[in-house]
Amino acid sequence: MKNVRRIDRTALKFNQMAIVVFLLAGFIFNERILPLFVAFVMCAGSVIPGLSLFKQFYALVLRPAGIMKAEVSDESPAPHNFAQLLGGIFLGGGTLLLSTGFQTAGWALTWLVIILAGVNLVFGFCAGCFLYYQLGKFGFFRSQSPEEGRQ
Amino acid sequence: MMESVLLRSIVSVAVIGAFFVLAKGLARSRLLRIRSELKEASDITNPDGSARLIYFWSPLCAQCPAQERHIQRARVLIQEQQSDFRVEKINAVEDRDLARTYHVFTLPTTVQIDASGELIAVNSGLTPAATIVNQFTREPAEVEA
Repeated sequence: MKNVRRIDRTALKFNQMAIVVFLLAGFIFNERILPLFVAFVMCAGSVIPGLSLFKQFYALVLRPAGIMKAEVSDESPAPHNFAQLLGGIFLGGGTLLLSTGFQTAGWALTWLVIILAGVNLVFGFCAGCFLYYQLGKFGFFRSQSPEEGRQ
Repeated sequence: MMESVLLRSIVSVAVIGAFFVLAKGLARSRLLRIRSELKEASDITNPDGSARLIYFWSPLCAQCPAQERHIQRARVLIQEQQSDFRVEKINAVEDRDLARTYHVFTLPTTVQIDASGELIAVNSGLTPAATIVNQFTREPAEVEA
């Protein structure tokens, strides 16, 4: 029996929106705790889906309340998780720089994540997915069709 | 404190605005460069009377299933306008030469060519149905007498 992978694209968009909003708020109010929080959500959430707090908020609050509507798509979540993990690592690095006094470099890395999440949200261009595809051409990732199940 | 918040807000707006302007400029410049390169490749732009959408995909592309749904939706909307619209699906991993011709650097990428063979748009990333329809219904460039 084939195991079809599915994702909710609305959850992805809400996740990107939340990332942008929290990080912008962190920059505007100069609060390092916000990039740290987002970095944790992005890194932990790409490994353990239950810790993807923004997506959980959407699934448990917004969608049941009818505020947002699901857009289910038969596609592999792996490249999206890869993109999120990559963003989380960049943001973690930025938070570390902020904590050690390198304000400009720290906020520059934070802005990189804001722009990449924003570009995905507005233009549909997923930087992580782009990397995933480029690395896949060289054999780093095997093809993941929606029919392949996770081991 | 408030002055710092205001300054950072202004910086945020400026950075986001500058990025959008830069992104639009780069996209426009890339489109013009591809268009001029394609004019030399008459087999690609040779008009056959119908508009075309060339859709680059691959099995590794996470967003491609969603892109296919948008293309199908766009096709329905365009056919309601009683227009002819052909979709060519190209595996970018197998046909790397064609992908290189259109400067494909990510997937999905959709390329719109109008009925006269003129390149209208190269969309890198997931492109919604509404955008495809809007690009398709754009007026072709005026021909000088």
